[in-house]
Amino acid sequence: MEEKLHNDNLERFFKENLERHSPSPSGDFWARMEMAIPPKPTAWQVFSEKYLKWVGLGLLLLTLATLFMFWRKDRLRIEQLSKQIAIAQQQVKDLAERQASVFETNRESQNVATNKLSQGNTTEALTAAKAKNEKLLSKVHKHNQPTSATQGNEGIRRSKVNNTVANLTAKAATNAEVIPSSTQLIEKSKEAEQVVVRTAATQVEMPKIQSLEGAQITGQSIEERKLPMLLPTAYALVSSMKNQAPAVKHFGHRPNRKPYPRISVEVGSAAFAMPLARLFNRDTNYAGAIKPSWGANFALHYELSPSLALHGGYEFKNIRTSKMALRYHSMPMLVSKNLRLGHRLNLEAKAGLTVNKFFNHRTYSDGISVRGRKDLWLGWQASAQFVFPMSKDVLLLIGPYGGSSITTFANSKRTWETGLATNIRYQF
Amino acid sequence: MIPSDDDIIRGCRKGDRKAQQALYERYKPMLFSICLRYAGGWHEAEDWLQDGLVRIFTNLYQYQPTGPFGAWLRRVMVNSALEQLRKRKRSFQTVEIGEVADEFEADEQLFTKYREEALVRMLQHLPEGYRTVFNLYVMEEYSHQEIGNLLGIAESASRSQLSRAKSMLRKMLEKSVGVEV
Repeated sequence: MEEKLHNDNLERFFKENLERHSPSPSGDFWARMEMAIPPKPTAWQVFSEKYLKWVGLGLLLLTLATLFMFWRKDRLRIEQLSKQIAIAQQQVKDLAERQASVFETNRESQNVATNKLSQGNTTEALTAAKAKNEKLLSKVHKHNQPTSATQGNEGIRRSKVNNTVANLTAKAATNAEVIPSSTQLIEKSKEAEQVVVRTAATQVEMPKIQSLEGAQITGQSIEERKLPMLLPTAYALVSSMKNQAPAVKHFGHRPNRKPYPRISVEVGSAAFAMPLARLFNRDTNYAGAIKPSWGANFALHYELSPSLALHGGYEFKNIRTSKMALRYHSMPMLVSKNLRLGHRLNLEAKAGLTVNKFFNHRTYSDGISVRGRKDLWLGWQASAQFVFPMSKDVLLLIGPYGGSSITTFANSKRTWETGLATNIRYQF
Repeated sequence: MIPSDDDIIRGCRKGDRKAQQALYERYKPMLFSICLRYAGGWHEAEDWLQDGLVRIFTNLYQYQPTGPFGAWLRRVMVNSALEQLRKRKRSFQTVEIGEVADEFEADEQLFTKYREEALVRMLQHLPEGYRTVFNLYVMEEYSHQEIGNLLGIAESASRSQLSRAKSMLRKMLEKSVGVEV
């Protein structure tokens, strides 16, 4: 104490003396201490402390993988059905062309029979009619092959064509067995003519065999009688179908939604990483290695139009490192742009500002407490999420996001974060 | 046979009471010394030591033997002490240096015979904020920026509090030894 203690000497003086200091608590301290020691942690407590985060992360990844598998399976099924429909359409088209050629051949036969009838040669006419019927029968048999249409409207249309062909076959067979007399034919032609006139007037489809009978007897062509044709009608219907299977869930299946602007709500979670070391000057001392962090959020999605929306809400973020954890509130205010990628897939791009604030700390026993940080910072955030319809009201959004601080922390540094966000959106 | 640190750690992790007592007996001077320096008095230091030990036993499975066990214990105890200080929710106030030094009752005999105890008394006589900054800077060797981050105060505030703490301690030393230091 003879010489003056400068600042450094004073510090050294205290440090050296206080480090030598080895006090002992009172004698009964350990007895009191024993009562305060908690029981041994259970295996579950140890497990949950050490591994629960990894279990959670694994479950999240498993969920994402399962969703992807379902989506992929669905997609493959749609592609398969689309191919089947394309094949069925081609088959129907071929069938229609063949049927048209049958009509053409039949018309020629009718003309021959009519000519002969008009010349009074009944026997020859009957022979010609018989020959025509046989020809017709053989063609019909040729075209009446079983088809494998099994899907939806396509199957119905094809079975309709097949039914018509079957009717044609039955009628042709009847005609072949029973050749009517000329008087009967004349009577029949009158009846058929009436049927044809009624049919033409009402534009109702009728079996073609009736039309043929009428045309055969009266000597008039099908075109002259203006018969409605089944063939073009069926072909037109089939052709108008899209070469795509109808989707189970898609964006357009709820046309009676409220008009714009309208509100949706969403909840979600995110796994992300933030270099916590950026928050401090001496990185390793405080933060240690980055570990997976997580966040949870809810938000309002204000849709201005089918492609534009405003997005705002609240997010709770829990940043994890090997030594400590920090939590912060985040309030994003984003503009959202919706891009249509397909009838079952959209891409939603969002960008905007966030207001963030640390609100609490958590340290491990060997870490350094940072409670008291009162950093409030402004940041930006952007994301690109794929949007899948889950039901008529619910959408699933999955995609990456990233962002960084615009303003600096107390240590004049900025930090960033990036991660994967999953959200469920309910559309009112 | 004296158990090694590894034996103690293993035993404590299993919840063995003897191992816990062995840890306490081996490290109590260091741990209690930390508590005394941060706390305002003996009883308070004992309470803090109890909380710190509970914390150590509860979290011992997190200890990775990459560094000395003693250093880990020291960090845990300092953090525990800081936690106790935070619970009080006291703010860091500016106190007149002269007031503190005047209130300090110097004991020249105590200082000569039990210098360490006397120095601890001086530390305990410091206002809480000054004492915390002094301990963190001088004993734990943190920088002012780190102290600022830890305590939620500005770096400049940490500097000024340390400076004031040293001035107060110097005055108390002068009173104790009777000469200008």
